[in-house]
Amino acid sequence: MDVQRIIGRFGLRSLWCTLGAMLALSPGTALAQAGGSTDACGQSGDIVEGSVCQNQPQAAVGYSGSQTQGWAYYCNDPTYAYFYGGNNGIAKDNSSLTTELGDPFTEGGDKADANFTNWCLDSQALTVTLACWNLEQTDPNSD
Amino acid sequence: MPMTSAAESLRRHRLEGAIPARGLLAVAVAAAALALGPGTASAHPLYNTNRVLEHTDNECLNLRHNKCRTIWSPRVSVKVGDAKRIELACVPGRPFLLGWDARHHEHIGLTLVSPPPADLRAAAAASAATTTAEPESITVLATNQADARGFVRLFIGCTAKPVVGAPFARSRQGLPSKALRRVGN
Repeated sequence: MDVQRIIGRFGLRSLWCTLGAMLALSPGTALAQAGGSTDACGQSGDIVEGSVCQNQPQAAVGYSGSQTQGWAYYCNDPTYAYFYGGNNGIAKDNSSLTTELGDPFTEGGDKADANFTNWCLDSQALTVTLACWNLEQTDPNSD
Repeated sequence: MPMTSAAESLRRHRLEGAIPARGLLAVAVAAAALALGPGTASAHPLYNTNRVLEHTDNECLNLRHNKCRTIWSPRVSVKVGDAKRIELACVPGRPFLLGWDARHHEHIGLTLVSPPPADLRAAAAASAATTTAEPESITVLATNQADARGFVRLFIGCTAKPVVGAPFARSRQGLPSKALRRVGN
């Protein structure tokens, strides 16, 4: 009964959109905070002491309904040229999309390669913000 | 509303189950043609082989049309079990590749085969090589993942000057929407 009320209020599409994104969550997948986020630096993980982060917004990208796109994003400011932070190093302004990132250490440098999935049936726009650092971050698993 | 005599006659035939075999055949053919759409009918359990993922203008990344020109490929057919490499190049007046996008069937997966232009330019700068005067190009592999023919049209955005640090698409895949619908139910 409650489900019917929710569907009636928000529409089946919105419900599926949200459920799809939640079902897709896995250790390698991240869901942005409700309503999306633009503060990649704020949500980044461990960092090298003394390093400074800059949020770098990227160009907006369009997605068809029920679609995955893989993108290479780049840190553009030569002072803040290093991407790091795993999934948390990428902030999204649209929480209907999930992110699956490649290994941040094997990618390295200024580039972030990631897949983004739009679980909604209708088209969506996504603007990504990268956490870009002034110092190269090291792999904590290496000696 | 009064029925025309032809409609009334058709209704009577239907009621009596007396539509001629030729008529039934014509209806079946018309229904099949509608179902085919641009691809071919399929009963694939995962992919809706009639769904088309629209072109979303990502090739120019919101640059104005006077700064970025869209160039598109012919519509390419990909047979069942096949994969095709699609190459597309910018033009001399706008030789720098900014991005790409596509209009394709759900079951046609697209993967970038050539390196992104930023990587190529970085490699050229590192080796102190001079950039060639050739317009930049792209190669995308289109793979058919279901049991029906599908189509793809590739779009690239080209500029007069290189755009530094622009994001670049690596792949485009339609989610298997038949499978998703089943999970949703």
